Amino acid sequence: MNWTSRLALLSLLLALLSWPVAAHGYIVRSIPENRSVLQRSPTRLQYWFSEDLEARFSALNLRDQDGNIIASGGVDADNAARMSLQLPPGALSDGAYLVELRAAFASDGHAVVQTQVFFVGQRVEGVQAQDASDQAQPLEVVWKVLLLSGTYLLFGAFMLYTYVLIPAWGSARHPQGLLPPRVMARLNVVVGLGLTSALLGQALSLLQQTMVFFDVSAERAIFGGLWQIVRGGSRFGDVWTLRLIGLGLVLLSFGASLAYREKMPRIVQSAWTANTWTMALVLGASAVSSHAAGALVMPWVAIAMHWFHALAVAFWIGGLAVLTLILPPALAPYEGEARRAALSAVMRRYSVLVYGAALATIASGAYNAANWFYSPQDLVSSYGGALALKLLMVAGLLLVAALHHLALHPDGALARSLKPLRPLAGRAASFGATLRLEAVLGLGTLALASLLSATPIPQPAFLQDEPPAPSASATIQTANGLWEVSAQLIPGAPGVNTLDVVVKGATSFAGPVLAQWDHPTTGARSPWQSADAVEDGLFVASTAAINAEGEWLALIDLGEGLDAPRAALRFSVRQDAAVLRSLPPSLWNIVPAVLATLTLGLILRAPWQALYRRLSLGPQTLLMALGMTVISAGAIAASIWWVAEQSRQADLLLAMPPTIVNPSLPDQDSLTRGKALYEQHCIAWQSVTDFRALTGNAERLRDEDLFIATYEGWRRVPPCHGDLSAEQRWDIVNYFRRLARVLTS
Amino acid sequence: MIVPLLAHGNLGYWDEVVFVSVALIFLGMMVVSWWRSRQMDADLGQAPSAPPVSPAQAPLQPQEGRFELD
Repeated sequence: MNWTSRLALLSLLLALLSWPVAAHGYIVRSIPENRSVLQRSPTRLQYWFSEDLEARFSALNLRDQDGNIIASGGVDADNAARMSLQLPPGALSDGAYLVELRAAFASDGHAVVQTQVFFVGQRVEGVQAQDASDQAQPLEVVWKVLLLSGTYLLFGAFMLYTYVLIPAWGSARHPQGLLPPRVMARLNVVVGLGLTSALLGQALSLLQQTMVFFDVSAERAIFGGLWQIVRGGSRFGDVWTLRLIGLGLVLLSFGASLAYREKMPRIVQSAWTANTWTMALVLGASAVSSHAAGALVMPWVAIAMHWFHALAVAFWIGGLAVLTLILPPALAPYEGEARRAALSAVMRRYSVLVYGAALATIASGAYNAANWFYSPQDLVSSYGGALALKLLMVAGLLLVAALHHLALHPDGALARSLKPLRPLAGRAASFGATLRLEAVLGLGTLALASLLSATPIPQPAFLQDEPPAPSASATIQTANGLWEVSAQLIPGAPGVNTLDVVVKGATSFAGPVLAQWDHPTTGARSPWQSADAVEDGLFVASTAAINAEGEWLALIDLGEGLDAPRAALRFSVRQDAAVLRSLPPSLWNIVPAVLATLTLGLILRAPWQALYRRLSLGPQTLLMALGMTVISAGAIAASIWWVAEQSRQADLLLAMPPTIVNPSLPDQDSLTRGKALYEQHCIAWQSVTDFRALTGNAERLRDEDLFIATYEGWRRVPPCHGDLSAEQRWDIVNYFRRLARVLTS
Repeated sequence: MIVPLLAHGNLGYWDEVVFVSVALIFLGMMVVSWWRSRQMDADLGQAPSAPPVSPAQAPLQPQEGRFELD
């Protein structure tokens, strides 16, 4: 074993043995907070994650301090990034409780088990939460190395064949693949190795994923048929199947090229060139289940950049590995100047493409990094460390590439700026040792890339900054004395919220408490619901009715009767209080994205120029092309506008905003005034048969409909008589809603 | 009702459309490159059945920087 092989083996072993890996997603918000002390038993446990979860493979178990499971929850149906558990009021007695969260992330299939702890009553010493494990999953690292190595090798082989070897060495004297049989034989071995490695990695990935999802042994995963559930019932399985189809196509065409090369020699070059595109698609499928899928900034752009990065690296490293393997047999018959000419022909073409790949790697790599680093602290995370090691390897690769450039173009423009490297360039002139060194560095980069994809991304600090939940209070004067009602809306953002209501008065209040949420701007109104009595004077209700930011009213009735005290509290619902799932792009995202796009343009310049030369650019053709382009773009734009407009119209029809907004807060004072006015001016309503229909439809009617009814009547219900101001009519509307609820309940 | 296969971004069902479109484009490119590669040996200028080409489409061989392997 020579020194380069030893170095490769050593770097691979070091990388495999020493690197901790963990799940990629993480908890961004917990209710209750980890290690919090609650004064009462909670009615709801909620945990928001940074990415969507696989509902079938995720679970939430609540354990007491002896480890017994008390209750279980799971992923919410309306939000795949949240797990929750509802508890009956007062279900938990004083003590410590452990929340065991088993989260399987949909984007990359990682699963993690971690526990949080909370206390009811007072803190209990000696009970500890357990963070997500950061221990390596050896099988995961193995399959990633196998899959990456295999797919990179295959893409590198097919790209090198199509865009380097054939243009440099191709000859029609060799009908089977246009290259000498000794070279094609070596290439076939390389592709065979690549396919074996990729398919083995593919099989192991499903096995490991099944073991993680079900927390079972390999034997149960295989013979229990559990792997089929993961394959058919998870996003990981969807991507896995797509990748398998791609690899199957490559295997099929490669097998056909081997089987029919005697009868149909042209099939060889066809299969090899076509497989370049298939392998590009396979690498794209891997990008779909990578870190990029969970990016906060433009996930699709992140996936595209990840794909671009993978293609560039796969060509650079995979192509390099293939080149290193085929040069010995290819150049074996040549000596001296002929050998140098043959080598130079292939290296000139390869190096031009490598410049593009290197630029693409740097630009897309910068974009990928900008997705995960939001502050300098993120750079010192384990992900930052892994990335730094990978960048060191890439720097080594660039150095060797620069030496090769100096050897190929000693008098070129770039060579002058690389003057300090000239003393080393002589050693690269024969390419042999430096190509092997570059291949070793490439292997090391590949191993680190596998580990980087298995390393947790830094958790941005801003995701943990929870804004304070909004609170409000009111004092109600009744015949029985003063009642003080205070409430807190948690978290106070669109989505599921919990309302904690504390009622204090001269005597203790046993309930019931009814609550309704109103959005005056849109006229949205939730059904009345009963709040859970948690302890003396404390009531809790949860709702999913709050679906937009802005001012919302919480109507709180202390009882079910017509004269029950009413508190109407205003809450400002803010979008920034919601769990952050996306971010707008910053300059750090835009600059690398522009650079990567320019690099892509540079890479595609030659094919575009070739296409341009082949075009017949007469005035008639140009006019037709321009016309068709304008018409197509116009048709697409018009279609998008039409779909958006129809959607807007449908939304408007479903939730038409009121033309007149009720300016009167439906609080206790308004109800008292409204009752007196109703009984004086509108009592005739109750004498007609349609009154029953009016009360029955009250929850569906808007405030403005009832307001108009006081003027014009409703069906056979007469208008309210007498000279009433607008304010008085709104008070009547507020009271009538209370009356309707009592009469229909 | 479309059954989502891969929706993970913020585009909802458009995720599926984007993914399937990209896959179709690449599979299309695979078919095109298969078909075009049949002209590869003609482009190398050695095939006896090579069709006549214009000067703008001059074959790669003989060309500086190429080395046909024996």
